[in-house]
Amino acid sequence: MRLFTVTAFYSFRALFRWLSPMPYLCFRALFPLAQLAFFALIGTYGGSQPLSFYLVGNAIGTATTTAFGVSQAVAGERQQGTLSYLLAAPAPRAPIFFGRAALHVADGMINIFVALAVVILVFGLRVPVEGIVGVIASMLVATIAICGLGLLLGAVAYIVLDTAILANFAMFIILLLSGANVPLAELPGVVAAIAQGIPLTRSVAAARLYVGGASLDAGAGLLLGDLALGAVYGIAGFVVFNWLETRARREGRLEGV
Amino acid sequence: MTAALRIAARSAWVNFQEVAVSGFLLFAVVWQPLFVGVTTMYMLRHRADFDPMYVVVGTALSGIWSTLLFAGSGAISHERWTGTLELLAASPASFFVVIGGKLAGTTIFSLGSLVLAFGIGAVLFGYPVKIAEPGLLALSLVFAAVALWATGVFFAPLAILWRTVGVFLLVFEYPVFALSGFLFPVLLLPNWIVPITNLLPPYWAAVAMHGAASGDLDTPGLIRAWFFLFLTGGVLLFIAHRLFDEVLTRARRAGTLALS
Amino acid sequence: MLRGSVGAIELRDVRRLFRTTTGTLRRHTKEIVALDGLSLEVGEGELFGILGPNGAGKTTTIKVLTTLLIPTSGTASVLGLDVVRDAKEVRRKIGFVFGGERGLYYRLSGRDNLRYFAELYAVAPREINSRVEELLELVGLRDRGDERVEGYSRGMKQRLHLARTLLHRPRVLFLDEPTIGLDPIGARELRRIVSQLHEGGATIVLTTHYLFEADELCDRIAVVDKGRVVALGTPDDLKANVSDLSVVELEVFGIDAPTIERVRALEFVDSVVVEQRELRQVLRIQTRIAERAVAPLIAAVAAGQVGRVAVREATLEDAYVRLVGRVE
Repeated sequence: MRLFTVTAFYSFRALFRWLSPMPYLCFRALFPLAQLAFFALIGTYGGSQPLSFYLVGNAIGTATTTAFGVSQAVAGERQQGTLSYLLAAPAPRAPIFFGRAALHVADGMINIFVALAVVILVFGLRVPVEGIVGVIASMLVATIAICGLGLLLGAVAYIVLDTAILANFAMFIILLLSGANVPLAELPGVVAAIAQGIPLTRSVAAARLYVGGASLDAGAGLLLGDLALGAVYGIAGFVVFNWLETRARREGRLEGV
Repeated sequence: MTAALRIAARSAWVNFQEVAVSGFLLFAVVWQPLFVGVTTMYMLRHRADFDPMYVVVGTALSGIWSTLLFAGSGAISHERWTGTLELLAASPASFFVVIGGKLAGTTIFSLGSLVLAFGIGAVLFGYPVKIAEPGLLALSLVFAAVALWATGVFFAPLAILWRTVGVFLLVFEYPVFALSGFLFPVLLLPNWIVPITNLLPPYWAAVAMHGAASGDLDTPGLIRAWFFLFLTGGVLLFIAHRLFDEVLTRARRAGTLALS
Repeated sequence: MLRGSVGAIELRDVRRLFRTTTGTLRRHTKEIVALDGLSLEVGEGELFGILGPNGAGKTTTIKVLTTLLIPTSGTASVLGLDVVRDAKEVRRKIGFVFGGERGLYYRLSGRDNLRYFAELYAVAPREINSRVEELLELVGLRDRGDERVEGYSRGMKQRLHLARTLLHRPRVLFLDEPTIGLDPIGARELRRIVSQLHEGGATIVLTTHYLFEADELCDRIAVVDKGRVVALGTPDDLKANVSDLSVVELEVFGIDAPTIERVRALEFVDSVVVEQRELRQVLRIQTRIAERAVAPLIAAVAAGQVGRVAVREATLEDAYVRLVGRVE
């Protein structure tokens, strides 16, 4: 547990040593909000769904930027050349690996809170009092699920070699297929099926239920589903990471696969 | 003048060789427009007056802009990383011309977004994509590329000042899509913002291209749009030229031209 | 004695500070003094060396003179042109090489790299091809000119750098550690070219860590430490500073720090430099009493640990050690 906590702390501190407040603000607040506003306005122009549809979808969708931080935290070891030292240490892998994501969850929550504040205060989204807990729960689950995906992306980045592009790509797929901007019913059959395997799909649907005034129970199943999906991605990331490490050790290429 | 053109052309060629195969370019010219185009096509197709060409043009412009916004700073960051930034800064050649040349090369590359956008509409969605005035659209495309190139050149000097400029530039990606009316009319924006949009070259690029593609803008209207496109672009280039000098002097004072 | 009477390069009281900030929310600014009132003059046609330990300010001096850094205070000029006010003019007249692998376009061939820089340096278009060929011949890369730079060895990259710097026939050359990281043959080849350029009348400022290189090539040398000139003169002038010294070299096995301190504390010992060579160390002890120091030194070290013993005259390196207190 201590190893988990310590790893989380240092991973997060490393993130902040690189970023001073201004770049952090740009990346975690301004950029996601700009993207949110952009799609909300297109949605308004398109007129096929009410504005609240796009506001909720894109507010939850801002969680996708957390994937960058998490994947970078994992892949960054190789880029900085510290991977050999990390793997040669006797500490168990799992707390180190999952510790990377931990504080990013908190970071991601700040992100979504800001987005939610903007859609309520600037765009005038009405969230019923009984739905607030559900909306917050949807945000938390979305963030955790994205962190799980981020861990997998970070591990895969050891093969693909570019976390930024990989994470961007993942962000696009999620925003397109999760129902944030396009109702799942409009997507072709195969694509809609793929959407079920993507984080955020269920959180977005749950959040929309809660904004519509549904009880907590109504969306609980969806949230549990997204949570489970996030866990699956996270574990898959851990498995890939270990496999790559073994392979790299065998082939003598620890600093690059 | 010929020397400057030679330097610009050579810089474009060097940039092409060095970064043409970069993942970033593929991403900006193909994947991002693919996402934007497909999403927007779904979102707008229920409109009574839906014209797939509107999404095609808007998607192409967004692809060109995304590419150019990051290409300028990317070129400078690449130079810093290869250790050639100091060599360029200490050469007699104008930095403005060198970077302008590099971006010009990238601009040509970025026009691939239009082909992709067309493919989204015609092939992926199977719409009959009609162009009202093909000749005028082609001309508008060339002028639009110039306008977006000028805007990209304007942002490039920031990369000399700040090594981590990429994150700042992110903030200008979607807002320019929105303020320029690439994929929805600027009238949807708050009233106080609308006059600002007229100062942006990408706005006039979008007016010209949407107008020529749909046939909604007559020739005098198109000429007016081209005029303002060049006027606003020219102003930005003038400012960019001064900005390069100023920024280089600051970098020399602060000692930030090298990698560390 | 200056080779030329006119100052080709002048630095007067140049100070250069760097500010770094640490911390995220509470930011602390630290000031680093890279140049602390540095003054020197280089005559036209001179081959001038700048020596100093890491962080002494050698590279900062070069960057000020090549217009890459603006001095915080003081003035610097090249060929009578101020490096700040007349930067563009200065750039037309100078060439420079920074040691190391960077500074070339890896995906381009050697020839294309040179052609590009020729454009940047306004070499007349009709002259570019012939000039490129001439320089590739000079640096011995003519046959490899069409290969991509990414496949070049370190020595080849350095030679290409030198070719690049000569494209526009600069009157002043700045070479910042040009032989660093090169194998002995590559380094010797580069020194031969530098010598040739010097004989052709170029004014050259060379920074180097290799004292024998400075001794071999330079008309005059400035030793720089902590941003100031601590000594200036011909190699012989500098060696004269240590003419009273001899150097006793003791090869020892497994000596510890307290023993080294004991040796240092001996009253006839001027300085001690320890060089690690695999399992043994070589102590270079500067002393005024030459051979008479050998016996007490061996006694101080403990006879059983001593291997080879030699006594020699002080070299430029020893003069350098006396000035800056260390070798790096």
